[in-house]
Amino acid sequence: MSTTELDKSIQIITQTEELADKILANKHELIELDKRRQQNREALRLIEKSEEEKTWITIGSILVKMKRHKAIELLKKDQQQIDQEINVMHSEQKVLVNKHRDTELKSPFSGTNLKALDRKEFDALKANLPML
Amino acid sequence: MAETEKIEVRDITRIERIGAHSHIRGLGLDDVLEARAVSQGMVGQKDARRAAGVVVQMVREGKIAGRCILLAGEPSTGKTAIAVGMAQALGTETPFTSMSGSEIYSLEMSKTEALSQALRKSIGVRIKEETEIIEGEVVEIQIERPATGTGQKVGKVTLKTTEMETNYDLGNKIIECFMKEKIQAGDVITIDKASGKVNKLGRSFTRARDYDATGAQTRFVQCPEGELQKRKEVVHTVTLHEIDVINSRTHGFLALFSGDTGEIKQEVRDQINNKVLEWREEGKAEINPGVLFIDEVHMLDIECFSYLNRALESDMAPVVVMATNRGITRIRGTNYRSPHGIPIDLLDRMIIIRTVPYTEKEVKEILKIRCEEEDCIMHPDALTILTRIATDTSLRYAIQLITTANLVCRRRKATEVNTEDVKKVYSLFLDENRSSKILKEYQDDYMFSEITEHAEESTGSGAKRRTEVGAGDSQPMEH
Repeated sequence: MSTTELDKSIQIITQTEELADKILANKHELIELDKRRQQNREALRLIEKSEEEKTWITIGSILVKMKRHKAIELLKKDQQQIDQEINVMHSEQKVLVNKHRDTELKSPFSGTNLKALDRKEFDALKANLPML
Repeated sequence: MAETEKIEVRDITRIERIGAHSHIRGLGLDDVLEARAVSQGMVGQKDARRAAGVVVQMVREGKIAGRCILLAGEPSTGKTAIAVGMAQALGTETPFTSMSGSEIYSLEMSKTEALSQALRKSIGVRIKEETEIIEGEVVEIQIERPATGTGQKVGKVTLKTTEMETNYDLGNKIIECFMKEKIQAGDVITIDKASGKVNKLGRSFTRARDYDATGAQTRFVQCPEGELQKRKEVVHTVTLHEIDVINSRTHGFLALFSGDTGEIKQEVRDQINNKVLEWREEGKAEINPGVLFIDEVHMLDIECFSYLNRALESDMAPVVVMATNRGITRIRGTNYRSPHGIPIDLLDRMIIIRTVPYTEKEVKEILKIRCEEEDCIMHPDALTILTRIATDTSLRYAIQLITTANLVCRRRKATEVNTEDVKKVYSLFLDENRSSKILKEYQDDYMFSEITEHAEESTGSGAKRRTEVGAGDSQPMEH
């Protein structure tokens, strides 16, 4: 194998490996984000149930006493942001996976760029087409 | 194409009748669409296969919707084989409908209705389903019900994956679902976020030894990995015809199975076209034009041809591949003669792929492949004789002899078919030539011999004509 060919194959391999690494890292981050989401949800639930005027919550590493409604607002905002981040991650992941397939000379998964059908529309189809 | 060549899945648990083209697995082309001499069950016919490969490539890239391809060639030169190969090469993603020209003549629906159903069966619509599900193993479940027995129930469930664990408060409705599914600690479940439907996947392996006795239907599964709340995206391909059928209210989806769809109103089709186009506009659907294959296309009449002409212009038209073995002949339904029995204006829209007769070497190769397909071990000498028969009579006849010779061979408890077996079946079963020769000799002894003269107003291919006058296909006859 000549040096140029060698260089080229090394380049292709590094490229695929880099992409694969990124995909795995993203996967991990998605799990972390979901952990945060679930914890946040649990906290929100607890505070909403409690009847005290003021509650203790941690912000970063500091424990703060805060008014109930304010704490709820804060947590809800957090939750929204996490959801958004997860969404971004998901779409990024799709692009990365198809890029990875491209470097492996495989055709991209069909239909990844489609938007999902409305729940109602799809349920109607599903009810009538047993093969779906 | 590389994918379909690498993976070859063959179902062997089911034993079926072996079709005439069951040995074909693809077009047998390499990466640059050059035809290999013998590959994927295809032999010879290199130019035609290459051309078909180009068509397949273009269909895959979605470039030639609404075009027409004609496979023209003498009988048994592999036209249907090429079409089957195209279907295989296209894979399961692209819809491929195969019909024979005579299928459109039915009492239940008009010719154009049958054609338009076939056309719509060949157009796929890709749609995506997206669901958010919560998937995990139940660690603990508590349900508190009021002492009175009725009233609001409240509960709590702890779910975990290999990565994480969390608590959910349960409302009245979801508790009902949990109770209906009899969920208990150790079950692996999914909850659909939008509908709240609970689904039991099985019991976790780690809990496999909880009980000494378990039912046969208990399924053990791994504890799920990753995040608890997952997003599932599934891409489905449905054909326009399927959507048509479920929307034509009088029949309902059961008609899809019985095949008894009847006629579908044009309004329904228009509505569906609009809806699908709307989806496409919104990025919710992709139209995936497939291939409609019409064998024996000379059986269509002039009405069908003009309908096809018009249908091909629609922006949701599949690629239509036709095959015919006729030369210059009468167009059905008219008194005009035209090449292949197809009107000139439709011919003008077509790309014509010609298949040429097989050489002796190729015939031998095909017979060899068929022998393998039918699990028949044949002695080389017998194969040579069979090749000889194939070139003298027809390839189809020779292929028929493989099965019969194999049976004869098994009767004498041998494993390899030898020349004697082939000779025996050759004398037992007549080919079309010999049969018609006998007919001519003993014409006067048959019934209604006087009207045969009348049918002799020859049109086109002689071989077909002779069988029509005679007793049909080369059937076994006693003598």
